[in-house]
Amino acid sequence: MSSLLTVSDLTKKYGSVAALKGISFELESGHITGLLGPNGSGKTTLIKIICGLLQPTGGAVTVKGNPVGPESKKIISYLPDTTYLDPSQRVEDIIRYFCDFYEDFDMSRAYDMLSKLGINARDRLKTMSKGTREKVQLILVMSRRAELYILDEPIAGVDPAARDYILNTIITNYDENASILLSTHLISDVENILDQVIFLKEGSIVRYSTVDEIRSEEGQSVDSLFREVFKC
Amino acid sequence: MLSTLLKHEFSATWRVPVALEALLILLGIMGAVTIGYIPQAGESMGTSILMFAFMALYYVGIIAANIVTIVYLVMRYYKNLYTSQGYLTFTLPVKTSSIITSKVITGSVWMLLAYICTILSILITLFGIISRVILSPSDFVSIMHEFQGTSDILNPKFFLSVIFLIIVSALGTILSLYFCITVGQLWAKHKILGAVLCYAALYVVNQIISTVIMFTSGFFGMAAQSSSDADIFTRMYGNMAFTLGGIVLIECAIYYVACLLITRKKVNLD
Repeated sequence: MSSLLTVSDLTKKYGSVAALKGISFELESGHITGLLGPNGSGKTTLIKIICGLLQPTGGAVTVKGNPVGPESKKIISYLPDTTYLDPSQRVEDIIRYFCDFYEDFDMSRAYDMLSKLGINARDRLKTMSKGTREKVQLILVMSRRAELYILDEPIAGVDPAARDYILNTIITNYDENASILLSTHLISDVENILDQVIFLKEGSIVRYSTVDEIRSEEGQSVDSLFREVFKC
Repeated sequence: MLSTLLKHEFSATWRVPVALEALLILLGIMGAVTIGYIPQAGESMGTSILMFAFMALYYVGIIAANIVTIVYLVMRYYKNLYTSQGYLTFTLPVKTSSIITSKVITGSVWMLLAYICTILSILITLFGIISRVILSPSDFVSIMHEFQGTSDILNPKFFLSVIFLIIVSALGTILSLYFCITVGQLWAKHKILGAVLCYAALYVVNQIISTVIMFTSGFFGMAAQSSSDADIFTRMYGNMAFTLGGIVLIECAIYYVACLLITRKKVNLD
């Protein structure tokens, strides 16, 4: 099967500090992959380079054979770990914006999810709570019929009920042929939806295997293994 | 995709500049009415104070409207590209050049509108002053003839040179500020301070270049001239406007390419 995402010998340095130390891996279509590691392990740096928000110091990233650029961005639907929408805009304006730029954006799916949450599309983001804004952002990202979803800490800092909603939204709104790369350090909450995991430690990959392999080979859950690997 | 970017950029930015330019025109009309219709005979102290207060308000209003327009456009550029909003801007499936170009075009259009409305506002106020001091339309016509006789200011070439300078100045103002913001992003910390320092350095360099150009083109204009004083005036300023405009255009090209290369090669959103 051809690779959806290829990361080759990727390095990122901030001055003399290396955030990523020559990591390489490939992702194929149809998998939910957990990018797991403690804070400062390089998860967000890696994601930003894949999405074109950071320039690598060395190495390369390709998405379906395309270097990072307009073609790769058509394929990726990215949810950052921060609010990235203009708070002065109405939700309906942002939906139009996504519709105009992303050919794979499904407007009816977006309005359907908004109505289920009781969010009025005429409301401006600045009138909404932080949690509601994050849900709007997730709805926009998951309303694309993208081939690769990259979700950076989608459940960090939200209450358990919201976590359930977010994870449910993710698993019910992606096509089977698509892939998800999901970064988090809240392993127990996402373990059940993951097919495979990448453990990132101090800018290096220390483990890349399927969840089933971990359970059969290590005889423990991903959460337990994570606690063991990243024990302070 | 450039057209889509432009559509959304104009749609998101039109309110503030249009409101400010409407304010400029309103100030001009208020000026014309106030100055034109206040009784002249034996002007009281109150009238003089009122006129002085209005002129002060008018001056502050014009400066403020232009500054707010510039600050609004610069903040929009900075927020859209280099704060969390940049996460959306730079993950759109469009070329970096299209993003920069759309920002430059919309910014320049709003800046040009600000310049045009400032000039219109001043002309409207001038109309008020002229109607106050001139008794009849025939007086106005004779004064214009006299003016035309001593200065060739209505020469189309002179007008074209001024219009050209105004257009490239709008472009130059926006691009120089965007360039400074972009250079500021190269600082690991204190990015806004970096942009301010860049602007200060650029200002000094521009002042030196402008002064040199004004002198040389002015002198060349006069040296090439052998007819009347009126021709000297228009040719000198016409030459100066074209030369300055040309220099600004070259600067614009440098700023644009620099913005593009820095954004494409060095963008690092924290």
